[in-house]
Amino acid sequence: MTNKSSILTFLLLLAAGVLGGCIDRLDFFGDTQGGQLVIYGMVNDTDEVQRLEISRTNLQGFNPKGEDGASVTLLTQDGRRLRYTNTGNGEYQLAGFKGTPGQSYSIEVIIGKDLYESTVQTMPTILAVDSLEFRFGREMLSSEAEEGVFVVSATTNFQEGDNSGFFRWTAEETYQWQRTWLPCVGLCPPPPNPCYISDLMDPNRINLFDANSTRTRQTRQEIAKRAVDNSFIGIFYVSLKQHSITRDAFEYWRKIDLIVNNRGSLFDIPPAPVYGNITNKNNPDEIVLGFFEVARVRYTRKYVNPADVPFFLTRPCDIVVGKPAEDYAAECVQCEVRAKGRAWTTTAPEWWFKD
Amino acid sequence: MKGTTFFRAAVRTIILKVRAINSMYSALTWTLFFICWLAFANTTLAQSDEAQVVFKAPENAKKSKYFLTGKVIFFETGEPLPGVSVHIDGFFTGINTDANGQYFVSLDSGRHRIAFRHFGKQGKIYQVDLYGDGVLDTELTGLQFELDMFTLRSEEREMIVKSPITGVTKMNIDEIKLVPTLLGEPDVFNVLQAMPGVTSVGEGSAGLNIRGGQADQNLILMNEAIVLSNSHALGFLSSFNGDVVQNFTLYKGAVPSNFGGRSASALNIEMRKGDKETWKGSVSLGTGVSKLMLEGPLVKEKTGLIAAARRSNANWLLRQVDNTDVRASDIRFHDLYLGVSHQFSQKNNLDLNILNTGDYFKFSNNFGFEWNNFVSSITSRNLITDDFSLVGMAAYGSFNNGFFEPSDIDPSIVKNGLYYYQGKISGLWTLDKAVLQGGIEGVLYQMRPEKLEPFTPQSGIQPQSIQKQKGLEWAPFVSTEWTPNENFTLMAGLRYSMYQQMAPDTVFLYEEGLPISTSTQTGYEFFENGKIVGYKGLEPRFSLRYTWDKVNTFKAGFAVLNQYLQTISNATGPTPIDLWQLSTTYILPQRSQNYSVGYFRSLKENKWTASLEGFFRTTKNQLEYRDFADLFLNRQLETELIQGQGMAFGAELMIQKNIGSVTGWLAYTFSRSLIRTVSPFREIQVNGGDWFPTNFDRPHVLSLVTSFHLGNQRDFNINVNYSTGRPVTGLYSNYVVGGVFVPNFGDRNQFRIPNYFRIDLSYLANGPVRAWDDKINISVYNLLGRRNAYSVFFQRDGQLQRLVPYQLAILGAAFPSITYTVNFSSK
Repeated sequence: MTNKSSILTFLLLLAAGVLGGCIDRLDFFGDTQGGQLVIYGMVNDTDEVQRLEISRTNLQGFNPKGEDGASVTLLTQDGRRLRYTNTGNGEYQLAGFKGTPGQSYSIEVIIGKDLYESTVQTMPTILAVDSLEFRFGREMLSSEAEEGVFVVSATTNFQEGDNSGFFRWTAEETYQWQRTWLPCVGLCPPPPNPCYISDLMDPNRINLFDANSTRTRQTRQEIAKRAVDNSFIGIFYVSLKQHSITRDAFEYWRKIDLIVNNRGSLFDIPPAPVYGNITNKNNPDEIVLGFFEVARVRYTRKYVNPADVPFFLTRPCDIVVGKPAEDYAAECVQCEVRAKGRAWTTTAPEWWFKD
Repeated sequence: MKGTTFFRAAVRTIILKVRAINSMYSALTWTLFFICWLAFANTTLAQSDEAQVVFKAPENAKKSKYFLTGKVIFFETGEPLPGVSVHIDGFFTGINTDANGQYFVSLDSGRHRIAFRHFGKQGKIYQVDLYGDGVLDTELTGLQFELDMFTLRSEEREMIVKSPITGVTKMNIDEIKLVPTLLGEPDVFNVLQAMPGVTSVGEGSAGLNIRGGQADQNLILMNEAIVLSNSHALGFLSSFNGDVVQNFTLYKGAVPSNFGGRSASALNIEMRKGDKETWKGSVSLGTGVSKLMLEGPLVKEKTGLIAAARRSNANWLLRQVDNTDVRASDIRFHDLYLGVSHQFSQKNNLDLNILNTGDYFKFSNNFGFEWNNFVSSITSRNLITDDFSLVGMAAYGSFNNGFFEPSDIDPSIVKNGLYYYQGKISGLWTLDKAVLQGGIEGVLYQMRPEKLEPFTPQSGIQPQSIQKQKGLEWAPFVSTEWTPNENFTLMAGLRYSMYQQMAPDTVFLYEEGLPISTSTQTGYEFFENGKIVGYKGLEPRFSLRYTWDKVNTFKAGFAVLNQYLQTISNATGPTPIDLWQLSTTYILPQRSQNYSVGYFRSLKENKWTASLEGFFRTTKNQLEYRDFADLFLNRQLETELIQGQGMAFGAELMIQKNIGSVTGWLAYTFSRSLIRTVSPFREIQVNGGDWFPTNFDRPHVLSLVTSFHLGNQRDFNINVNYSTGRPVTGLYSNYVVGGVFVPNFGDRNQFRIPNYFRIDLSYLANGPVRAWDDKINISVYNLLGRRNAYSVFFQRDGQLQRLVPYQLAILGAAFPSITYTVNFSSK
């Protein structure tokens, strides 16, 4: 009897072992290759600066390196050639231009002796109407323990008709970070402007919708999710960016979605390189990564008031009487430190909340 | 007592060994340990009684040689017993009873000791004074004592050796039950994966890869009726309930001509027939599966029935997992089997078999699958004369599956499937030194329309329906097995397979000189009636055996196999919901050429057998997929596919210990399975048209199955499995587009996941209730809790600006199970 009990106890303990996780990090295996050219750019119909990025892939899965010194030109349907300006780190900008719905565009990039051209892309004319919602909750996000999360959702109304378009949504956050300003006596410098730090939310979530294949004319979908942290101690803006894209771009992003969200399950489509719409005219065998797309864009914005956040948030930069200035964290003083590589500015965006 | 002490010492040694295992070196050490153990284990032999028979010819008709013929039947059911080996004067003649239980031998006049042996049956021995032609019919009874069973396993092995066909694996349910498996269920597919030359993509993938063939290149049969969907729970279990399986025979490459339609192998699973004397049954309750089996006479001594039902009960396990997605998941399956066997007379029998299986799997509220399968067949076996028999079979099968996404913006389900009618008639003529077989087989396949439908009433999805193809495949076949003497057997066969795709269907037309794609489509042609396209091909099959010194055997085989029905899947491995697709104008039939040779040796009077087999296989028109192939609801599947050449080669070593208190086998396979796409257009070639390994290419596979027969119907079993990791597509680099980190994958299947290693244990014994005929099966799958990689994927490591590889393990821990079975009988 004792033996039987021992066996049962042993098996029950083993059963508990079944409940363990099954994903483990591996050491890098196999050879990696670097040096492949990546070109990604978008032309849209907003007043913002049009951007294009050129980079080359790196070894061991590290971030690609920006490629400066290229000549980048936007070709328009009416025969204009508009030159981009290189702003460093592989970024090229075209200011003072916005795309026109229904018009066609392509890009031309010259790097050394090589000429790269994209296919011609026609800007869609359709836009849908979004409304933005958010909520706070507790969920398992980065670990098996529950934590506070901030979830952004969108309700979208689409145009009636057969050719209802292809859409992609992204969410951007911009939050205000109040820098520490210690009171002083006498001739004191003015208090520093707050930092405005921006980033894509949940960038690997690719939100796509093909409105042609359904009768549904109103959708509600979760767009982004992030952990709640002290970014919410100031005003926190969410900008929902709707891209009305071409069929080519939709297909490109669908493939990106497949490989970005591949988790190795039996039902995942086997991964493969994703080729875009840019080719080397001097060497057609060269594989160029990335895509040139044109899109109609519509922003919908909403801000979160710190008072609406249902979680306790630490305030590392609040003034503590008697605390020496050097004891405050660097992020309390320098926007760059706080931003950790994200975009930042000390000037409030024009759409920023005004008292 | 001595044996018990030895066993305890051995278990202690195992535990120490298990702790030490952390590398292939340790695994090999462990393996060698077991080989030594097997070598020194005790053996026990069974005895049989002898009966005396005298045949005398008239004085004026005396000859130096006489014929001895007869029929062997199974005592319990009255059914003829095929494959009973006939031993003369202590040696196996190479002669087995045919499909009707008939045998025919020519012997010198005089006294002979004739033994009839069959695995799992009590052997019968006669002392025959043969002074005239004679007819000796006999009945074999089922074994009552397990040690006898293990003794007779050697006869089964010897029979396989004496068969002229290379690459045959045959196993009885009693042996299948001894191999530890997941959920403790005796399972044909799990056992096969411990045999040489048989692998799979990984745990949780449906289908087997046999000698480098794809899963859909295996012809899976239940009593010779085609079974298209043959696995449960995403492939963890086969659809064949161990309670109703009699045995299986796997032909790896050298497939006899009476089987065809797949280009790699044939696996025929024989189902049990119901008892014609007594009502009996069993009830099993397990941690993962529960079962009920009932059998008995509908009409005593005439009609037997067997029925079995099996249902999963694994959902309670999911509810214990500390993950909301897994807790919200649902996995269910069932299978039902009904067999009715009626004996009109000793010479005429009719069998009815019905198998129904169903599966449902939903992962959280994200996606799910459901599939069900129905196979029914009716078989008539008629002995027309003493040496000629006819077997006719008619079958109907149906397979449906669905893939649903319940939480998408527009919840939807994609449904597809097919049904088929199969007919086969074959005649068997038994001569003095040869057996002739001939017949014809036909299958009419009708694929069901593929449909996209709303999954909920609120869904706005636009319903779609895509018409699918219909095809007819038929093939006459002949074969002969010629045994001029006991040392040599030649089997030669020919199958002429013909196929035609039948209307209605639309054939799309494409611009010549450009790759087939939607952008190069120039038009289409609709066929309303008649034949759209046809293919045909001769399929020669040869095998030979030569035995010398009674213990050494050489075999060689060659077979050509055509395949007109294949699965279409763009997943990592075969799944139970893969689309079945007939050959069309653009999807050409596959054709394989299979070569094999083998050397077999019996050792120590068959206590041990060893074999070394080599194979080489080429396949034309093997299917491969273009990157990101879109296969659902696609009327132009040819635009997503590319066909190519397959090549597989390898060597299989197997050492078996057949008799004694410790039995088992060690199997090692070295093999490669490669493919290259063939197209004049570089842009659609995979890996530039170079050879690359298939998803299931595992060069080294080692398995060790050991059973310790402890007496009193107790068995302790260990299964050790090691294999090279399978190929995956790896990462060259990563890049960023629009803020998204994107992995940049390299050529297809150029990297390998880490190697695989697993140990399973099981303990089978009588149950705790003395008054009952009950059994208990305790098993632990993946004893070491090793997280064997199934696949590799890449994702950002926290805030690091790089992607790093992660491995996914399907079963990341030890998986124990207990099954308790109670047998009951009206006797």
